[in-house]
Amino acid sequence: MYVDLDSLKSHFDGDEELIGELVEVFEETYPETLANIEKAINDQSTKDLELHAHTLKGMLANFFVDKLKELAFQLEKIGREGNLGDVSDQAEQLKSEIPKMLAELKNIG
Amino acid sequence: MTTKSDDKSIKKILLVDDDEMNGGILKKRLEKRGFECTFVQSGEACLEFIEDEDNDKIDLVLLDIIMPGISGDEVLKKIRQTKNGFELPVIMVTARDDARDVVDSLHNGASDYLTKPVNIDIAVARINTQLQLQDLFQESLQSKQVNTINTMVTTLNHEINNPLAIAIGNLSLGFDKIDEERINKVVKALDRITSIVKKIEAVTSGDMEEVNYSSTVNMYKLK
Repeated sequence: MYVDLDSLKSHFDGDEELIGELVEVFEETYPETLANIEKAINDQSTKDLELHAHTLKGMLANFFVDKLKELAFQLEKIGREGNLGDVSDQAEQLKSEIPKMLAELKNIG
Repeated sequence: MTTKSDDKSIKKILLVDDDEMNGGILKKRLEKRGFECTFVQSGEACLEFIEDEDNDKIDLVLLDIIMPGISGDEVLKKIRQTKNGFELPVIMVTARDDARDVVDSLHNGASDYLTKPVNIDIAVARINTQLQLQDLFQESLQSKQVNTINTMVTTLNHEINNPLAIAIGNLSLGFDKIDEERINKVVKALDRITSIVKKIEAVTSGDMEEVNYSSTVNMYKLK
């Protein structure tokens, strides 16, 4: 389980329509943010990495997915500290795990 | 991205977040709670919106701190160059682990802050607190203006009444008793009133000082 369903439902007052809409918008927009992160890593741009990882962290925070939010936060910190050593691991992990999180979110009800 | 209303009692919030998802959802949730929201996605767009006189007056700004381009903190500093926290409250929105950003923002004049994911009940409570403070500030300004007008009326009443009493007193004696001396007194009194009327013009240029004659009555001294 990626999502803390109780916290998610409580946060949105049990408004499943709104949650559904949030999931929809996330599904549409996260690939671009993830692509921005990958580009920042390829370009060795720590500033851009910090910025886009921060954005992704904020998006993920809406779903109470601590594990994935933490991964985005690690990327943000790496960007802030300017040490791009093992950075691609976290990015790859996010890329492979976000679809699983989305599948989970689509099954709530 | 605005939902407009002509109802002045509906408070207008400018939401600034580079992330469409976060901003869009928060806009919807605030609108469900009765606010009118405009959502822009950059610091530049925020400043443009506030500066554009064709736009409706905004009551409060919800401002994301970390954004590409001008950061929320820079936007805040620019807003505070022209508007204080009562004129335009600005609530910063930030990730839970960015405490250092919040401290900087508060030093720069932020009215309050919210952490992401934004809890709507906390957001509404903090927004309402700022809006109530804003209303109190406006009421206090209006009350000060009313006090100033009352003081002016007292001053003018006093300044005009004395020469008027002299003029009326002398004229009411009857034509057979009005000699040159009395006519001179009346003319002098009317001159005094004329002079006061001219001095009233000075009020608009601020050429006056407030004098406390008693514990209950203030008057302006016309120079």
